[in-house]
Amino acid sequence: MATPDRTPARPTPEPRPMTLQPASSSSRPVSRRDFLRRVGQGSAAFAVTTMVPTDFLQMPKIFTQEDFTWKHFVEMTDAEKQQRVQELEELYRKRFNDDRISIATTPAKEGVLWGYALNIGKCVGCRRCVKACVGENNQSRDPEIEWIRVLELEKGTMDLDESHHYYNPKEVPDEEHYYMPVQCQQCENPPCVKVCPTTATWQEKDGIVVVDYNWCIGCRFCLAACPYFARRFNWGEPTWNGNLNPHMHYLGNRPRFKGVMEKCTFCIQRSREGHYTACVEACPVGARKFGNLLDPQSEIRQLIAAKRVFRLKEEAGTHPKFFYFTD
Amino acid sequence: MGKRIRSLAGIVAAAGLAVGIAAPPATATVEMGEATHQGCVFCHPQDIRIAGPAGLYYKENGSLDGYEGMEVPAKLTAEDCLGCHDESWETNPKQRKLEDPHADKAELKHGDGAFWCLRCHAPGHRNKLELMNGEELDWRDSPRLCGQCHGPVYRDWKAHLHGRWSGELANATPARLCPDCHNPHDPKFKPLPPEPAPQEPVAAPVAADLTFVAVGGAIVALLLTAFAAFGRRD
Ligand code: HEC
Ligand code: HEC
Ligand code: HEC
Ligand code: HEC
Ligand code: HEC
Repeated sequence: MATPDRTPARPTPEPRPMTLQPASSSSRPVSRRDFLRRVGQGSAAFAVTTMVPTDFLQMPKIFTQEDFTWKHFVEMTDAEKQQRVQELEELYRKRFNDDRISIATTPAKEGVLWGYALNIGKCVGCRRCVKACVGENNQSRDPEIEWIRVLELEKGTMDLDESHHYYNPKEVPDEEHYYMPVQCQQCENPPCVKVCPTTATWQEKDGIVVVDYNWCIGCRFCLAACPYFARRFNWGEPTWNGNLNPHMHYLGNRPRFKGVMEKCTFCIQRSREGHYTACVEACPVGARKFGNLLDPQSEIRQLIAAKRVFRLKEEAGTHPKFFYFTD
Repeated sequence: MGKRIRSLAGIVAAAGLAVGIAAPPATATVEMGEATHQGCVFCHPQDIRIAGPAGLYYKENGSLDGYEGMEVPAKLTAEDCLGCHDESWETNPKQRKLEDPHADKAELKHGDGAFWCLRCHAPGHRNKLELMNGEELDWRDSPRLCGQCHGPVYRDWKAHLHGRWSGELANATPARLCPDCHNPHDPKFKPLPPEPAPQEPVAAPVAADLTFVAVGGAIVALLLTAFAAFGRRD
């Protein structure tokens, strides 16, 4: 296998926020990024010249050298974001042979705090949400990654340890069980964010916990810290069977690569445009509800006021913004 | 297509009446309006075979015999009703077991016997629904009909808490109306086949890890050798 993205085949856009010459007009000292960039180029040259045919040196095809040198997303200026996204779009369009690919960086709206609620009285465990999520958010098809896990519990119990998620009867719901889909609970006090050694995961203003895939080093501390098993790790090189959703967000459903963490983002590419999430749209029983917790008129607020609502593992002090309810 | 058949049926009916062929009485025990007691042959000629677009109905000899063992008809639309239930067709308000083309609705599985079809369907205009106050509704306004008896659910539905709403959050539209999720004639939500279960986890890819260690080790060794050689030359 060749390493096309590390060779200079890809045209580099003219204006760059950081040049290779640190002594240029800007009087900035050699930053960590510049240093890394050079080291990166040096080792890239080394790899190319020695042509070591190993998997180890082989970077995933959508993972570029620039990925090492870019700033953390929250530190980027708008112009830098723009440029970064343009580069990525170009790269993805070529790589996935799809000109529709666009990557948004839509920021959180003022006065919005997203909340989610799921009616466990109605959920029938059909997994339509799971598949809709995979399609919308470009989870890897093989190895299989699914952000939503539907737990099957025996009626009359609430013990998650006794739940199953590989159930597969002919028809659901089954008389003896009820179902509880679990995905990222978008905690107000997220343990996963606390343990991340590289600040690759953080909470946005609208409450969504996101991951900058380029800053994730794959240590999986967050995976261990999450009490809801909501994070997924790319153990292998992800594949999409040519079914890539071209409507992407930088912090959401853009393609991931081997060795990084991913999770539910409340469909950041949809919700920030004011749309329902894919799982809400897919639910045949209408058990999934989504809205702005700061808007007293929103479905989610009305629901919390009117229904019997609880949160999962509340005793963990995570303050999830994902509610479960019954009529 | 509807128009074509309507005019065709009209022509047929007119022709039948003009030639003065008295249609033989329908052999089935259909009560199609107590006053007229018209059978299918009143409008449809005897020997015509009629299969709807979905193979809905089948009529061989002006009787309903052919219906037995037929597949349950696919859903009808409001436009279909008036083809049979026109002005000439009297309404039979009696609660009974229907022996008719609406095969799957022979018995009403809604309301525990407390009401009958015409609690919802307008007797005069079968393509309309009717509220208790006599107001007629289009089918697409069915939630109001249901709301008469299911107030709390209707209220939840309006607040987007029941049923599915879609599109833009600020301007949501119902993705489904009540009858799309609840058959009005048998409203319990039907079980459905689940999507495939997730794959059971496989053992960690040990092989890949070993290559990593082996190759990494080899490179480090190479570099060390190189450095060593470099150092000696100095
Ligand atoms: C009052 C006259 C009348 C009577 C009585 C009548 N029909 Fe019809 N029928 C029509 C007309 C008019 C249409 C055309 C409806 C349309 O516009 O699609 C029609 C259409 C149909 C169709 C649909 C044809 C298609 O291709 O979809 C079937 C089937 C049918 N009739 C069967 C019957 C049966 C069975 C009976 C006896 C229970 C019956 N009809 C009684 C007038 C009548
Ligand atoms: C193919 C002809 C045909 C069509 C089309 C048709 N009906 Fe009927 N309908 C009948 C017949 C025949 C009966 C009487 C059945 C019996 O008495 O067993 C009947 C009876 C009924 C009744 C029971 C009350 C009464 O008047 O006897 C209702 C309600 C009804 N139909 C509703 C509808 C609606 C709503 C539609 C349109 C979706 C429709 N029908 C379309 C033939 C038809
Ligand atoms: C609780 C109210 C209610 C009752 C009672 C009811 N219906 Fe309906 N029916 C509806 C509504 C609402 C629709 C429109 C469905 C839609 O919008 O798709 C409908 C649609 C229909 C249709 C066309 C759709 C289809 O499924 O083929 C037929 C035929 C029909 N009704 C016949 C009957 C007959 C016959 C009875 C009595 C046995 C009856 N209905 C009783 C509410 C009712
Ligand atoms: C005239 C009053 C009336 C109307 C109109 C009516 N319902 Fe009902 N519905 C009832 C009654 C009574 C029951 C309880 C029946 C029972 O327990 O067997 C019921 C039960 C139900 C159930 C629960 C069924 C179950 O077994 O879980 C659903 C769902 C339902 N209705 C939906 C609807 C929908 C949708 C409409 C509109 C198309 C509608 N209803 C219109 C009276 C009505
Ligand atoms: C997206 C699908 C969907 C839509 C749309 C929907 N429902 Fe339901 N409804 C359900 C499900 C699922 C249940 C729970 C399972 C059951 O009891 O059949 C339910 C339960 C019910 C029940 C019985 C349980 C209860 O909470 O009292 C009634 C009555 C009912 N719905 C009426 C309505 C009416 C009236 C409408 C329209 C205003 C409507 N539904 C629209 C899916 C839907």
